[in-house]
Amino acid sequence: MNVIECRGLSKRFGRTVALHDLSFSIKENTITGLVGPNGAGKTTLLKIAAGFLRKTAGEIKVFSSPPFNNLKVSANTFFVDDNMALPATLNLSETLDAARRFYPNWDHQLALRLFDYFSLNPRQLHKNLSKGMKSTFNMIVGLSARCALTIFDEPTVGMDAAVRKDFYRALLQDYLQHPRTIIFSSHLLKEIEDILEEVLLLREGQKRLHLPADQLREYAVGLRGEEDTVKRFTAGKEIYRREQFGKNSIFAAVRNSFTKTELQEACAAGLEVLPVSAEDLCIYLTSRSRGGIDDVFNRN
Amino acid sequence: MMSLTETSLWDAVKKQYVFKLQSYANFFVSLVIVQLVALLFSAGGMAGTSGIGWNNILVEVKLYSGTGIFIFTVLCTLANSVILTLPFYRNIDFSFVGSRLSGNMANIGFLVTAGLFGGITATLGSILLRNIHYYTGGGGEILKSFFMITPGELVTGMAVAVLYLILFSTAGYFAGVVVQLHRSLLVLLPALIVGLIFYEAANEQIRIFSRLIEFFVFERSPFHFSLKIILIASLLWIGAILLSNRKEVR
Amino acid sequence: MQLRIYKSTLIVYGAILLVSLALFYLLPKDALADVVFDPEKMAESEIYLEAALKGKLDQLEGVEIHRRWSFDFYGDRLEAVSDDDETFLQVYVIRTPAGTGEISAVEYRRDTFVTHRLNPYRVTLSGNRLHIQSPGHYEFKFKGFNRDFTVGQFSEKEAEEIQYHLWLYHDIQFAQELCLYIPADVNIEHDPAGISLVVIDEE
Repeated sequence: MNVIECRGLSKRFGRTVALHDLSFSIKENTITGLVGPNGAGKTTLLKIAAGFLRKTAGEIKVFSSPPFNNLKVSANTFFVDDNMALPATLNLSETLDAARRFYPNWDHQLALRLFDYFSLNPRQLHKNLSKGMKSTFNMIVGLSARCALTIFDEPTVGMDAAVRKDFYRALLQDYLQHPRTIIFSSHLLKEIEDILEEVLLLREGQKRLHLPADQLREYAVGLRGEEDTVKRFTAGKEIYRREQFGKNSIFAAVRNSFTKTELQEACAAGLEVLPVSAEDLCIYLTSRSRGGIDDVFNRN
Repeated sequence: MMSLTETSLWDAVKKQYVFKLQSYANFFVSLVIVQLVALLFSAGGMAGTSGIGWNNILVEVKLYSGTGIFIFTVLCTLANSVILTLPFYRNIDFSFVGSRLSGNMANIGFLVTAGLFGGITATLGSILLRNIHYYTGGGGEILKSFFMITPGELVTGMAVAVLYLILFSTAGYFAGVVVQLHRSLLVLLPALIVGLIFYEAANEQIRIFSRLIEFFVFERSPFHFSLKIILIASLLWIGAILLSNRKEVR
Repeated sequence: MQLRIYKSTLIVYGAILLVSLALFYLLPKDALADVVFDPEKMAESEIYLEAALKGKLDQLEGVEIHRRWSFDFYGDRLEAVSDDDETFLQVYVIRTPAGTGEISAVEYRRDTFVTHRLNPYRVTLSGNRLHIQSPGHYEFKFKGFNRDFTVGQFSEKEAEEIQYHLWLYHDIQFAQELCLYIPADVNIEHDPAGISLVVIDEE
């Protein structure tokens, strides 16, 4: 079953187009990473899926029904971002108790243990927490709710690296023990790459790529060496990135449709064959120009 | 495979209602504070003093009334109901499980509960006021007229107070929703109302607000009074629901 | 933590209100100043004025003689004097048949809610001067409660402003009056600035 189905989804804020003709589906019980540069429309897409924002055009179905103002979607979806709206009168443990009443799958033991692990003070008020602690708390609530669809929108704001690492592990652990559909939006693709099963890449409100994570790593390959040689080998292929290295050598990242033999030939011709990481690939695919920031400095 | 949770509207409303009773306990406490302040003022004699003297006799009567407590409660309730429509509070509805409809229904449930609380405590506050005067200074100076309130009158007073508070709650809630429909309305609506009030004060012929007030205040039949309030409150509430049903949140 | 404070506040407040409610209905009601607004009674107070002007105060129901002074007097000139320069004094003068040789003063009192607070008149005669000491200046201070707006929502009467002081005026009227009974053949002199004499005409 597809938990989320999107066809030609568009969203406009006044005159700004945030999403344009977006079509994709998210399968049940997968962890999908939603990546892209700032302003790509990630948050907008997630908020539409959660039922907070209204679409402008196209179709979107979550659990087979339109998500806006939909109780079934709300009851089975948990949206975690860095500013969850929580009442100021309840302290952390009271908030947990309140959340518990809403979700039949709530695992209170898990919540308490995570609380303990991350050294949160149950008597503290949410608004008095540091940014990192707030994010940690929000994450705990999101995990403990065990909703069929759990959305994390940049949930690690303010968390230090150690806490982030623990968070990813916790997420993975709980996911493995209690499978559900998770969408994780982050600009730190490198960090979360290991726990993702699929990656959905957005650029300026449109889908740029939607692939299983391991395929992403093989998607492109980089060739570096003498300019003419590189040009020869990359002829006819889509070039994602082109960087100048010294007087006559360039680096080019292209779609990896080479055979093994072709790559060997490239090596023999004096080129370096470099893998393109998923993170780099996403950067290349979403940048404005093929030269990246170098174009600012190149006048030709 | 994870089986999906089915939630009925009623279920969601109940859960949200209970959640609000806890989360918004500060609203109830604000009513208490406001009533205590009103009590303080009323104990000093808000309704004024009247006196008369002739020959060698001077009679002075200092007037007291519990109505001040009710008025303060109304104002606080009105403010609270508008505040409830603000984005900060609206968004809380969507942190957990809810739709706009369930959130609105839970809000009205909350406001009615707060109205019950406010109406009952305001009326009892009148009793407290009388006790305070009786036990500080002795009863000898207190005129019997209207000092005693029979249990029947007390219940009537409570019921009327609660109904008025429900009316003002829904009016405030509706106004809050309307004002947030468009940024310009934030200035336009209050300006319009204030302008109308001044206009009416200056011109005798226009009697919109006077008639509105009389519509309720001069209604002597309990049945008609309750009916009026329930009908109008329901209309306002339905209006609020319809107007906010397509609003984007968070 | 905050939630607990809030809950406690609400519970304490509720308890205070309930206790006050219980106390209220246990109040000894007699301790209150027994004044109840009665519009009909206001009209009745006219009777007192009428009776007083006819010299027939003593015939009214509820009026009692508090004290009576009698003096023998055979002179033909009597000066009525107030002993108190600061207080206003008004007495009624009723003519008795000539030649009785007796002057009397009667302090009438009517049972009102202030009667227990009244001070007495004092009347003495020295020579041909009748000294009258007024009971002094009275200041009655009360506390009156207006009906709550919500309690009075359904009452038939229009919400009128409660004029306690006017009702009290009528209630207290003629609570205490002094009447002089002086034979017809005695001339009475007085200084209008010090004492006001209301002479009842015989029909």
